[in-house]
Amino acid sequence: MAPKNKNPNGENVVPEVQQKKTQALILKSSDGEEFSISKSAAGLSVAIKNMMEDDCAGGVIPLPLVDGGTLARVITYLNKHAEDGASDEDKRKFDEEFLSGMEVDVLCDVALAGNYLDIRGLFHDVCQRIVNGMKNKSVEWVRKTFRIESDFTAEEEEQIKKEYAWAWEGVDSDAD
Amino acid sequence: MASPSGQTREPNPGDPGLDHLPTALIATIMTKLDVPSILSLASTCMTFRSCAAHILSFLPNFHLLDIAPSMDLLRPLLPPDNPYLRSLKVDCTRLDDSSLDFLLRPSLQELCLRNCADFSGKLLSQLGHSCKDLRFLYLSSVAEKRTIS
Repeated sequence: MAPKNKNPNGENVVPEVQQKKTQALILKSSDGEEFSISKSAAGLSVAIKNMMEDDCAGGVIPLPLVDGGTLARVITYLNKHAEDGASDEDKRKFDEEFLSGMEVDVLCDVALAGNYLDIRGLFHDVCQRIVNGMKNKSVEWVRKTFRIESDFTAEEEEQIKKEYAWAWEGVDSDAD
Repeated sequence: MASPSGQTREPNPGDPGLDHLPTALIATIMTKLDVPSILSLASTCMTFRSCAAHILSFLPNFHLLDIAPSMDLLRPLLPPDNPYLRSLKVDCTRLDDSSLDFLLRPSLQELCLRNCADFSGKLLSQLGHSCKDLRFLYLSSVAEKRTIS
């Protein structure tokens, strides 16, 4: 082994070109799960990228606000978007499928993680998906779909109905 | 929300809903909605109601052309101290010259007023005076009801 492939401690060092591709980080979720991710994929998160640049990452990055299930999803997203040779069309299809099956609680968790980790594409897509689910829908439909509990009194409810009745004229049928 | 199979899962009472998101995030989502949908959402619970009131005070685009609002309806939706209001589109069928001070704001860059039949020529003079930053203007049926004397 050529000396330039050894670091000062005499350990083997991966040549730089190869290193760039295989270099990995460990992301640690709030519930202690550890995930390995390439630096190029992790760098799609502005928050993680900043931590890497400030060199305060030290190989393991704890993410105390993201649980394991959510982090696994986010990493799937990042890996796809960092994949060599994935066309924009591939990514678009992936994004659509990635979000389409999500329940409301999962959507909320992914929105929070996307915001916290500053992954703009993901955050934008999740918000857009929530927005699309609300446009032109009745109050009852939005409540049921997004599990929003009404905390209005009967009088308040009545008042709001009077005030805003025009806003939901011509909304989509709840059966849709 | 429908799952890929087209069936909606029964809500689990333990699952948190959208109203548990931080208000800043709710605000981000709400700013992407059209005005009627913001009001629809505002009618679901207290969190969204107060969030909507907040949103309306800095909304850059206020477009309401599906209905012809009265002044009473419009007043709470368009807080006078919104410095970010850039684009205003309103159906003015039920408005007249008395709404001009309220509608013509200096921050506006785009203005679309439909069915201005009850406005007088004061609309144009006040426009030039108040909206110095305007880049796009659309008016329809201005002063149609004015009689020729």
